[in-house]
Amino acid sequence: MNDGATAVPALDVAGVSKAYDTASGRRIALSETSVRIEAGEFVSVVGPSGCGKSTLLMMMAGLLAPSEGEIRLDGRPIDGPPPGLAVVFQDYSRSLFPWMSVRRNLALAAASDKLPKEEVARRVQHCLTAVGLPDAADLRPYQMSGGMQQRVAIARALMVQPQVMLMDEPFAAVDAQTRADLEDLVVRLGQEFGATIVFVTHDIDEAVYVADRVLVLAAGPGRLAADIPVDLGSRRDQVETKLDPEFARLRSEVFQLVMRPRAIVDVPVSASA
Amino acid sequence: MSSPAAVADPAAPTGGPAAGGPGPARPPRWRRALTTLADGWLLLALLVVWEVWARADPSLFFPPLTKVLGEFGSVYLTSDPSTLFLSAGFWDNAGVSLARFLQGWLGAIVVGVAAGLALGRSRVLSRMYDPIVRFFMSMPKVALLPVAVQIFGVTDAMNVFLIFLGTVWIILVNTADGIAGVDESWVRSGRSLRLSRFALFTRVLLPAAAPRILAGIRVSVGTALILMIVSELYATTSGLGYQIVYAERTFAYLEMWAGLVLVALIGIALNGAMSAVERRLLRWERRTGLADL
Amino acid sequence: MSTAPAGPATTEGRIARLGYPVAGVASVVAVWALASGLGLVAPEALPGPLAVLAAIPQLLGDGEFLPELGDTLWTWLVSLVLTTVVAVPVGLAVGSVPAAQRATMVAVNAFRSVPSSALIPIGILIFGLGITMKVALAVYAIAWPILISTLYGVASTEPMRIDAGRSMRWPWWRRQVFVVLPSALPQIATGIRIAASVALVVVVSTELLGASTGAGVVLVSYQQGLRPDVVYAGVLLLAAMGAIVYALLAGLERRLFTWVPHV
Repeated sequence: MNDGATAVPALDVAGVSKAYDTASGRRIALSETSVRIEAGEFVSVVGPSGCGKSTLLMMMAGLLAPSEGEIRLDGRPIDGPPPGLAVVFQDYSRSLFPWMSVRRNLALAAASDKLPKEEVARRVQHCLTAVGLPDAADLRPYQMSGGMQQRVAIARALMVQPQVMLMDEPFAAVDAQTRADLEDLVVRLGQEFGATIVFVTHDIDEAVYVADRVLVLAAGPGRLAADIPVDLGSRRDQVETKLDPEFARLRSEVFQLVMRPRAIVDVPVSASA
Repeated sequence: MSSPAAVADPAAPTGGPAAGGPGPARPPRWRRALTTLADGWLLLALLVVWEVWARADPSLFFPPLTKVLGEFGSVYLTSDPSTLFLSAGFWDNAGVSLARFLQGWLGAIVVGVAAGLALGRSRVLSRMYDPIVRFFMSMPKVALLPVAVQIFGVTDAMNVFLIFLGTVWIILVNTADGIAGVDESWVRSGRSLRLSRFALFTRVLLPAAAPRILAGIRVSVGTALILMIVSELYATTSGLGYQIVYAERTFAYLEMWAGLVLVALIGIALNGAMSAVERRLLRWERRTGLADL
Repeated sequence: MSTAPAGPATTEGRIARLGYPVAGVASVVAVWALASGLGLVAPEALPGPLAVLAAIPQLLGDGEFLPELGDTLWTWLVSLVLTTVVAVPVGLAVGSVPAAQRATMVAVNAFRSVPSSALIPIGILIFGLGITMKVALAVYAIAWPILISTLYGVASTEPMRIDAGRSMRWPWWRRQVFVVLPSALPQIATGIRIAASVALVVVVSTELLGASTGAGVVLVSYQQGLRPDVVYAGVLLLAAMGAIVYALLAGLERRLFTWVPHV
């Protein structure tokens, strides 16, 4: 954000579309979307279901190829999961591997770096400490609560020392209290590790609270509806920030953007159906 | 994966009466052993029924259990600790049979899992070979016994061939179904970690498919034992099945029953070992409650 | 393993769907033909595909095989029905008495670990060479898997559904019939499907080992007459029978238990 527009953006989404062939014909999940995300930015992505926000994230992760357009990471086109990029998935029970200890789950993330054993061990400990679980290395995922498992998933993402961290509705499956803790954790880690973070969520409060910038997507077909800077300073607090009038203004602005298209478009369609 | 589960061993350790969730702490080991022992009352009662029935209605073909056990002791057990109290008669028969069993069965596991991996990951291969593999799976392989004898003569290779051919398909189908059914989230997660193809197979796909693969292998133990015995009954000059049929032909019915007891004990031991391996490897599955998915 | 999404119903799609299996079968038959054509395997061990194909009508037309195949099928069906009729109610009853469950499992696990084929000589001694012996051995072989799957099916009944029945003040038998049985049925069906293939193996085994009737008996006599081509033809026909029965049972399961997600 601070480097200005002249530098190469961390993530450059250029004219990207994604369409699927389904039994009932071609369905466009995302159409003609362009976004530039600068290094060190914390960007959240919100939108109604079916707006293609997860699709966009999976394409950034190199797990899904765009039908048209291109996504560049540090100027290099993405074709497959790139190095220096980590993903935290929504469902921790299906992204962590339950047949391995926490330690081995984390070490696996560094497997492609061919590091010496001691370095891996050091990094595992460092990342676990960073997410507040310094003593969890020998546990198995199923011995932990959902919130702890998602912390482990975040620690695993940190293992690759990512420049870019993509998070796909990471806290959708945890309770409200844990969720607040995890939001603060992610904000802090973003600042400490200096990583660029793209954070997909369906929770509007969360989108505004964690980010420097909110991208609002609209559905049918999925497209970028708005790009809203969040000017709440770098320090966020669950109580103070959420009492800030600016927070309230942003949240209602995003809320209207998310809800309005549905009110206008969906009603006649469903009425005729 | 729209096909119905090819095999789901009903006794597989998934969500049955014995499946424990992350519930209260388990009682100590000796306590559990004692409970298991106490749960043997029905088995014991049935064996007593055998004893009483055979004594009440004496028949040459159906001797009482105590007599069979006495015969078993004198034929297969010696008091020599150096051979684990087992006689030469035991090692001659059981050793030969188990060697055949292991060769055929382990071969089937290696080939079945490897081919199953290929079929489970390749859409083209699975479309091409799925029907054939299922055809072979439902074939009563024992019908090949006469042909196997023709090809190999009365050799160990004949028994091994039949055991291999009889078990490889079920392992293959279960591996392929297991691999194809691995939750895409795990694969995606592995790919996002930039795992090599090899690491993706060994660290993600195989462990994730392990419940299904092991279910197939567990069913194959029973089939392999059946085929081992049948092939030895049909034509051999050694092994457990031969021992039984030889005793029958020489009218040594007690010895025949003793042979049956030995086969039963070996079957129970092998199945028990298989369950133990399965429980050990699949601890994560029982705990996460994914077993029912 | 099956191809999940049905593609667009174009001619092209249909050709592609059929083309793959045809190519797969063709490749296997080609390897077979090559192996026997080049003399890699002795003709008495594995005759060429054409020879085996030619033996099929001969086998079907010899006036003996078809009735004996019918006998095998009949024996197999009788064992399956008999076992199901006995083992499923026993399983349901035992399953509803928690105290009996574990003891039953211990006993059943012991009995099912005994390879049923080892009982064939004893079965012959006690029951002779007729259908009684064949059915008795097949029943022994499949009673355990069906019983176990029934027990597991009963145990997997969602307790909340039983409570729902209770709250409607349903009597015990009503809860069994309308809650427990339907919950257990899919598992029972799976058990029966597995049992079906085991039963066929056992029935054919007894026929190879001395039973007086059945398709296996015919195969043994052709083997002794040094006609491996006919034996292979017979094996293929038995396999086809097994495959058809398996597919029928699997299809029936899918039809009846639409609420069960097939993994």
